[in-house]
Amino acid sequence: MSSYPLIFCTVSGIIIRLALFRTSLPDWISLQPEVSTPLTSWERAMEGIALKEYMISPYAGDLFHETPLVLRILGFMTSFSDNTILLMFVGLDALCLILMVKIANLYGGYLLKKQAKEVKRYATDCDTLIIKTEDLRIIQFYVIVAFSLNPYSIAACLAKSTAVFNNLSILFIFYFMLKENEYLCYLFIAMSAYLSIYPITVCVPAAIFFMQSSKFRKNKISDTEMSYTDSPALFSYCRTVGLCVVMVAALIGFSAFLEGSWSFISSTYGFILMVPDLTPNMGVFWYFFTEMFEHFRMFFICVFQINVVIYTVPLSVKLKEHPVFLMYILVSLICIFKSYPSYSDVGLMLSLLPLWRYAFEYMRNSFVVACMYICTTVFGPILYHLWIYAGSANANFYFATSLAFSTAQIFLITDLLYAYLRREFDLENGFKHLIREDGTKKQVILD
Amino acid sequence: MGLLSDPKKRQKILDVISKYNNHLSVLCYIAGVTWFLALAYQPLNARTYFSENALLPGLVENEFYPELDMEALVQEYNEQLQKEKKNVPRKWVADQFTALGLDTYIQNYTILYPLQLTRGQSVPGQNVYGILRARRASSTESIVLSMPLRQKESDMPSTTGSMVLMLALAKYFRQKPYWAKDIIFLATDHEQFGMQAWLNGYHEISSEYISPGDLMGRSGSIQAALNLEIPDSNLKHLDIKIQGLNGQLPNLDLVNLVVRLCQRERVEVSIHKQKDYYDAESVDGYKHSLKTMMKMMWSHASGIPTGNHGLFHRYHIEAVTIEGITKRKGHHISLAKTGRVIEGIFRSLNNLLERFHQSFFFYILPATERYISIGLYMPPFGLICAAGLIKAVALWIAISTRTSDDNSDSESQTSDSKEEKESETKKEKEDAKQTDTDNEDEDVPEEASREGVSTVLPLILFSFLMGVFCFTGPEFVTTMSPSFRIGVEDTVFFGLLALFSACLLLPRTVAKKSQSTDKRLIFDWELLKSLGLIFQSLVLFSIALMNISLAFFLAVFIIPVTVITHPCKNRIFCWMQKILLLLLCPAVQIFIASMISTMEGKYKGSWDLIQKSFENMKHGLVLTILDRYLFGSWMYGVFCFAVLPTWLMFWTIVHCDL
Repeated sequence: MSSYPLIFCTVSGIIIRLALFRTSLPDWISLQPEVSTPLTSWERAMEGIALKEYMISPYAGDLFHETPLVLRILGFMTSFSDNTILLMFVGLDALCLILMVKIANLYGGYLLKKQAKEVKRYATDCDTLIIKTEDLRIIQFYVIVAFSLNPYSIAACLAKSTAVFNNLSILFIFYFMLKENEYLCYLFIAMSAYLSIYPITVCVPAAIFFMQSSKFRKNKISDTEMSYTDSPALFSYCRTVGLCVVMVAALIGFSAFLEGSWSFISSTYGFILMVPDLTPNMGVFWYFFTEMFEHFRMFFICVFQINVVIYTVPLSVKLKEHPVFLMYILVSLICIFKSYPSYSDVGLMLSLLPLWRYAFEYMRNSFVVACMYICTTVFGPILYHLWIYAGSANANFYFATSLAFSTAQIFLITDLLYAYLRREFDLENGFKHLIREDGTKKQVILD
Repeated sequence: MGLLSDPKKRQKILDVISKYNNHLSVLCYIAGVTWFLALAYQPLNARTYFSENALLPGLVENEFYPELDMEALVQEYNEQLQKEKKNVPRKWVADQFTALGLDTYIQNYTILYPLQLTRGQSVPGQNVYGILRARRASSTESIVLSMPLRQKESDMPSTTGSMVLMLALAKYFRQKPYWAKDIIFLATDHEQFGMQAWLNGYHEISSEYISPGDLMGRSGSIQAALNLEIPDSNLKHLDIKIQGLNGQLPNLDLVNLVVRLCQRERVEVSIHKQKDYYDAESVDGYKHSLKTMMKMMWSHASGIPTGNHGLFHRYHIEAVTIEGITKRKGHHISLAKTGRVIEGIFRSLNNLLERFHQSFFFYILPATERYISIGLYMPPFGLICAAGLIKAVALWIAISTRTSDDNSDSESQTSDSKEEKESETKKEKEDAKQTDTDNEDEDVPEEASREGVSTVLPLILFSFLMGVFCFTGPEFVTTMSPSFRIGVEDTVFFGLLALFSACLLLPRTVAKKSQSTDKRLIFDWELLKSLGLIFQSLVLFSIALMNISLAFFLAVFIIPVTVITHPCKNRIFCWMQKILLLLLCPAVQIFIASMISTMEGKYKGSWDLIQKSFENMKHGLVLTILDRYLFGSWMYGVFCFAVLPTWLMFWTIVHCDL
């Protein structure tokens, strides 16, 4: 494949974003609850900056929930003209794209290396499953298409969603992890956690990854012999987690120093964890908590927040040999279950999906999931309009779509997980297990 | 996850779908349409009831016996109308309001017509309104009683009765101590434009085309509105008009309220001039309510408000229009009686504790006291759409088995369906071989370009691009029109016709030229059809959420044709499909719609009918586009971005060369 399609897609993605900024679409999109949540809305950010200019603490009110560092970055951005700000957002998207391409390349290399290491234990008849170098180039192309022409990413860019900083730092985690640049990776894990708390779970796959790579470097052992629980491994985990936590603490401390007070903690992290703002969005929190009796609220907030992170434990045990995949799954789960999810997260999740293209043929629900995605994306704004503006539908209609959207995302992730594990199984056992004695095909059932 | 994780059950369902998809589609379609139409039968729908208890309809005795001499007032107003033939007597109205002691204001607004209709000149207009301040509450809530002012020479029926009633009621209401909400008496000019200007002004919204000016007096948030279109004499019965902009309907409670109070005052009431049939469970009764339902749905489907009330809905204000139907002969109802109905309605509205939020917003009315709610009409509608979806899924299965067959060289398959599919694919391969013999030199790329998403994407993209052109077209052509000295209607119509012809030629223009033969259009038609059907269902369901009537009519006519469309070798069959599709294209759809609407009016002979409907279509097209600019109607956008692209996809499928 030549590089022309790559360039064509990149350029058309940028042109689409720039052209749509000229229409009336951004005004409409920035009002959509799926795109601009209280955490990422550009208007709220402007409010915060305006308050700061009047020497009022932006965290005193109930509108602004960005972290102090982002506040400063935004303050810097708004010192330019409106057009320059638009260009900056497109530029940030372009930066994301470059990172994604780099990640795709690095991941390809990582895959080939891993495959070469593990090829001994693969079954003999699974040649069709082996990844070849040509396959990797197409992954790069798909990643570009999936990001630059992704309606979710475009919508987030048009709404000037500040979630782009969060996405960038998550992409940097992937990038530096695959580059095996330990400290920068930790820094960006800390940065993501600083921006939106949840990504702190990502330090688990990072810990596994760096433990593996350090072991490989030292004694060149193969994957099967590696122990995940001996004392050097445990030490390595502690080191990673410790470093991440220290860095987060340093970032928060630095912010407190900049701000001159600790008041931002409650209106950023408190806001994310306690979910006081129940404006509708694509997540599952708002509807549930509007219906909740006040005295159960604390309990269910704990349940819902634990739900976001609890999957880290079983998944890390199951996927310990595939830390990159584990990291992707964790990031996606955060996107689905976090308290204020937006299309920006969905865009990130879908753009990185092509990295696992080699497992796609094992996916079983792609048709259903794709239909669900499309339908809920179209019905969302319609039902929101009918509910809020026309007053004829009600919250249940909109919640039904947002629930269906979350379900679609969960289906996608479970299906991907299944496909990935199924491929691994076939790699180790070959296709023989699929054929019965009488020659007919067996079916694999997930129980 | 049951179905999603158990491959055996899933395979069973897939087999059934791929084997019986044609039967299932036909069955679903017929069942869906029959079921939907059967809903008009009385036992299958429900009787209306009051969901909002606060309304307390008819609890009080209506006491409106006008002190004013209504007859004299009618004459006075008619004299005023006579005086200034081309204008409406705003000044007189304002004077009357002031004399009654209302806070009277005049709103000056200007309307700039889009599409160069008035060559950049803006048209001024004036609305008169008076506010009766409630004694028992601060002005936080209000109810509107509105009427359109019509000059003597207007084509529309006179509204003298409304004016007289409004004045008499204002006088009566003012003496009463029980009002908890302000009452705004509003007389608007220029029909819906004036109403839109007043609403924009009241809610301080400025648009590019309507500048509402400043409203000097205001009341609280408007809870409900009643629009009167009542002529001065010979009132036979009252007709309720409900349809609003973009197919929005008022809360069913408000409609019920009007019906109930009319019945209480022994005033006959109707929807779409269809009164209730005395024996609704008989065959004739069913036919009658079906006719009522169809009339209601037909006007609902247009998405155009049937009266000034329709513009309130967009602001979350429930509103209906009461129209007086005249007839020379027979027993007449007096204006005073109508006044008592309105008094009752207003006293009920006065009781409201919160906005209308109970009862239904999505319904179809087959009679004044029967309704079909969203829960009743959605299942049959879903069945109709399922016909398309089943076909789409079947095609998708065919595609996926085809690709997996190609990968593993036809393993022994047990199920019949797969054999069928195989034979199909074999046939296809044979066909492909035939084409290969035609142009041997480039069989490999030709074979490769037959399948895959990349062959289909450009076609989809072009279909949507045509939609975008149609959407922006009218504005573009009308900026050019002054230099050609053609009327705006003609410019828009012929401009769109030209665009549409371009759409018709789309399959030919996107066809690739191969070296040996003439142009051929080759793509994965099964994939395009599957995607097209899914997109179509998505469009229909989205429309159904906002305007079930439009979605129903579109689905009933489009789905059977799109399901059977496929490219074929047989010339006659192919042409038949093309003709069928042409009959369903948006242009013909609009023409047929205008023809049906014209048939309701007067015409002489079929030629006259065609001519008239042609004129109506041109006029209607411009009006629809105007509505888009002035009122924010979605009709034009829906046709450009949803109906036209879907149709184009299927149009290209027929042109696919096998």
